[in-house]
Amino acid sequence: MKKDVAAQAETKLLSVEGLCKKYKRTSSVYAAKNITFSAERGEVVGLLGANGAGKTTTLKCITGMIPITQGEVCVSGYSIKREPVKAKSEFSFVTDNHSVFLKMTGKQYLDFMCDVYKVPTECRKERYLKAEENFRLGGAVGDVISGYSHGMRQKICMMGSLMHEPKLWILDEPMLGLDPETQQSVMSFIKEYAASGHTVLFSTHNLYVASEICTKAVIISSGRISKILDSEEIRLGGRRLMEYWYHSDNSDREEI
Amino acid sequence: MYGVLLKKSIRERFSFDKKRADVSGALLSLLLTAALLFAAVTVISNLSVLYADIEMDGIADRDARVTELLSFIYAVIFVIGVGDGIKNINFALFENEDRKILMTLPVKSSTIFYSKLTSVYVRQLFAVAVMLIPVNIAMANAAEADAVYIGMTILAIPLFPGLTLLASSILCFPVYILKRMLKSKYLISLILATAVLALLFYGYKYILEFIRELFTTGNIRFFFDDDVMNFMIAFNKYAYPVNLIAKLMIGAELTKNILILCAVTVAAFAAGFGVVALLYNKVQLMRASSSKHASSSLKRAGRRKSVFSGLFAKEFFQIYRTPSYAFQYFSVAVIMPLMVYFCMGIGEDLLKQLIMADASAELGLFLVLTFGALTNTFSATNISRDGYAFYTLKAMPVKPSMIINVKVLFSAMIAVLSILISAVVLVVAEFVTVGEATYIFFVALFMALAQIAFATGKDLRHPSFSAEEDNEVRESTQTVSQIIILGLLTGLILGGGSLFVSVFLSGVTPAAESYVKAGSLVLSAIIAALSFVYLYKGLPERLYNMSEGEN
Repeated sequence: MKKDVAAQAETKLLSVEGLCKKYKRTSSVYAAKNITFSAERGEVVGLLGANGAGKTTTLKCITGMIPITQGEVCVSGYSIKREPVKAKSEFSFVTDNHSVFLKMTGKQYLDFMCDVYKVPTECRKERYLKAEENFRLGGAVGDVISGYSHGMRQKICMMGSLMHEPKLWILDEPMLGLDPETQQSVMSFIKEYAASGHTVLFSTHNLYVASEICTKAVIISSGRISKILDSEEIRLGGRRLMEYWYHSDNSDREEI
Repeated sequence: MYGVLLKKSIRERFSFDKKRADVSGALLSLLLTAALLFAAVTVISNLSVLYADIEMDGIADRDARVTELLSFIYAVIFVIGVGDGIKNINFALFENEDRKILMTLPVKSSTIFYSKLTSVYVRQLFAVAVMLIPVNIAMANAAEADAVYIGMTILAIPLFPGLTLLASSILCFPVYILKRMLKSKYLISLILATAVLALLFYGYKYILEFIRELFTTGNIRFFFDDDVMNFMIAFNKYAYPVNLIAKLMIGAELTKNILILCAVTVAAFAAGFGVVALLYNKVQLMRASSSKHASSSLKRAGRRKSVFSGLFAKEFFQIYRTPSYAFQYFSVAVIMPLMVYFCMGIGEDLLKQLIMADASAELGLFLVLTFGALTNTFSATNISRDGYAFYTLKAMPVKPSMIINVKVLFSAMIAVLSILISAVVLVVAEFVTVGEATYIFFVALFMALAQIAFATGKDLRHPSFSAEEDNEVRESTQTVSQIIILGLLTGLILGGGSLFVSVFLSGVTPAAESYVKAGSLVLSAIIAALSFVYLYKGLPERLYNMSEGEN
């Protein structure tokens, strides 16, 4: 039995089973309802949906930022509810609002992330340089983050999140606020990162980005999954994605 | 449009949000203000009567003395008004985030600018009225108030802010530039703030010594000797324009002085607006100009630290690089032993001279607990200080207990240090014995730990994350007010209680003093233990279940 779990965790890095989330205990409205999907090694999974569809809520539940009302989330076989510290060691999360400790310099933030994720000293220099090569923060890395622009904060969050080379890299609206050049480089990096055996899960409402890099697309509408598209269906192009997109609206959010 | 913007600015300044109202905080502020005003009115009233009777070269000149005292007090109000004006002009013109929105609206920048400056004037008007009216009430007896005195008081209220506005508008830009220069010089700012605070307390000690002498000898000439009197006379002569307002109060050369003052105020008001208008754009341009990058390279990798140390470093940077937090954390704690020392010297003398009692240990405990209560309020924002980044910490592989331990340890470190130094100072200055200092140290230590644990637990249950761009908690939260009240209350019960027993009951029951000491020690330890239970009980569930917008 244990072997099965280990083998499953080896390929299925993330499994989300019947995830439900209500923000107010007394409310009858679900922000996410019965979300079930999985992500395997090497996959780039996109959570697609309109504004308010429930993408961010789903990601926050997966990462343990907010408690799950019902359901189960496992990362590398570790339950986010029962073994949160082990599960969280397997991934890192870049939020859409770049919540970061603003009074550190960029370099101090990278050191902090290395410490929290226990990155050995000998690996750090190489990872700093690799991150710099991909995100190009330049001299600003020595400045205090509170003086960074929106895009620079996004970059330092991404750089920090990659310090321990997480098996699962989770990003909420990663392209927001980035210049076209950096967007392109982030897209390339996501593809490379997945190709090297890691998994990427990200939310977006940018269909071009989704069709370019996703190997799986989970379309969320009114807090529920309306369709999961595989790489073949995504490869059919934007038209198919648009079709599902237009069929998803948020007027029928489920109540009990 | 000017009216609309002015209304918005004034509403922002004086609005009261019922939903987010900090009732205990408002009540505390109200009580403190009322107590301060009452104390100020009482002291000034008694002092002014004594001062008015001072004879110079054997000649009493009541009008001259009242004018001197009024000039001096008005000068103090003027300085406070200018300080407040600088703060408000800088905030309204350069820091308030609504500037970005207003700039995009079809409104002339001059309209935005003048409406904001007018709102600063209105605020100054309010502040001056709050200070000037009680002072004039307190001085009424000495000044033998008549209709002119009342009329001139009413006239001075709108005139005074015009004068402070000019001084504020001239000084606001140099202050703003200085602030910008010091923005990244955290250590220099911290040292400056600590020095200013120490200086203030030195002045405070001077005033307390004066009050002590007044109480014990009743002789005002001890302080107002010939040198001080000559200074007061010279000050009154040259302290323009506040000496003109003082002269108005006693009705001296009324028409001439009213005309001069009105002309000066109108000119000052116009000049104030003019100066700000002239420099505003230049400073905005300077603000927008890019700054150099600090030198740092990714080629040097940081050495690996434990998760605990990493979190500790994060906590340090966050406090060290936020001037208000650094001031609360470092400066206040550094100053605490000084405050205890000053007050102990005066308090001990007063106790001995007024009620012939020797209760140094109890007085020491009372002072350490009271000042400690104020310094430990810092921990009431232990969680809120992280802002929404606290949620990202939840997504990291860190145990909840570790997150909290770091915060408690960080607060406890400075608290223990300041209590220890205070206890050592009390011994070195020979106020108490080593044994008594040890007793003071442990009771204060337990109470500090209790306060830190309780405050952190309370903040964890009800965090107030800042909506500001830099996450800084600028306004006092409900938890802060409650912690101040609770801290002062326990300081009063434990410190004041033992002081009371020592002064009034030790003669009746000789053993009472030792019982009270043992009791205080045990009670403080129990309170500390209970506070830690409050903080750590069900911590993982509480932290993991914390959620934005969840009830």
